[in-house]
Amino acid sequence: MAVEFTGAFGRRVQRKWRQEQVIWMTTVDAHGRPQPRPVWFHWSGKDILIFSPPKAAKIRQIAKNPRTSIHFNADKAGTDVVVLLGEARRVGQVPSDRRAAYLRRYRRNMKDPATFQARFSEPIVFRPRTLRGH
Amino acid sequence: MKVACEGAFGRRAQRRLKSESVVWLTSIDDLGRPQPRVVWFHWDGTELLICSQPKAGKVRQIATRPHVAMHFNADAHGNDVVVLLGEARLASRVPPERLKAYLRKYRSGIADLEMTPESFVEEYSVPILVRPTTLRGF
Repeated sequence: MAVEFTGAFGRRVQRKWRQEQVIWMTTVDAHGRPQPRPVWFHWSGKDILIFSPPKAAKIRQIAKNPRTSIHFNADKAGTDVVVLLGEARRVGQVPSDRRAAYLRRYRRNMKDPATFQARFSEPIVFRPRTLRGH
Repeated sequence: MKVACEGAFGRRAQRRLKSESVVWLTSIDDLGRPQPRVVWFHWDGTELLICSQPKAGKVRQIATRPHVAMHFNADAHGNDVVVLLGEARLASRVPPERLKAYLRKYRSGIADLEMTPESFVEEYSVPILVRPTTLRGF
């Protein structure tokens, strides 16, 4: 079932997909510990695309346990909270227009897209199942 | 083990533990899913004190799975990252002066909830203590 982004809260989340540069991705390691880190992302309207170095811990972690949570930074007071739960998986390939959209989003942050793609060569797709926040 | 907050990064982590008003706390639920939420906390140099409603998910989750992660908001570009891994436990009681320090930190926040320190302590009656064991970030 797809998550619906409706109402005032849903619209706020939609805005964040466009405006925010990073999201926090939390996976679970082999010891059962949550492991959060901020990542660059591209939201398609249905799922999140992330690129990772092949040897990154998150690759090992999602291979064993795909259950992942995603959230944006909150504000200083902790009132603007958006959390998504879902599954993250390696996908091997991404459609070239999707890859291009990701690279376009971060073109100012990359010295050179080719170097970035060589290093961050593993596409991961996160599909949200649950949305919560306030 | 006490986490070493040394060097320029360690000092930055200490500063944020002292100055930030919220931290993200992630525990693992029964289905093995990481569950992040924003919480108020008080740092005494060794442990974070968090006060929870007794029926909150984190109380159930920590009772069976003490491994938690904490982090502060990053900046807009994903820099200034401070992540702490640690062990959380439900504390039956905390020293009164510690609780007082927590309530002092959130004096205005508690007033914004239209609560008094007394009614807050009554509702958020379960103290959770988190001891950081690992610090990472950049």
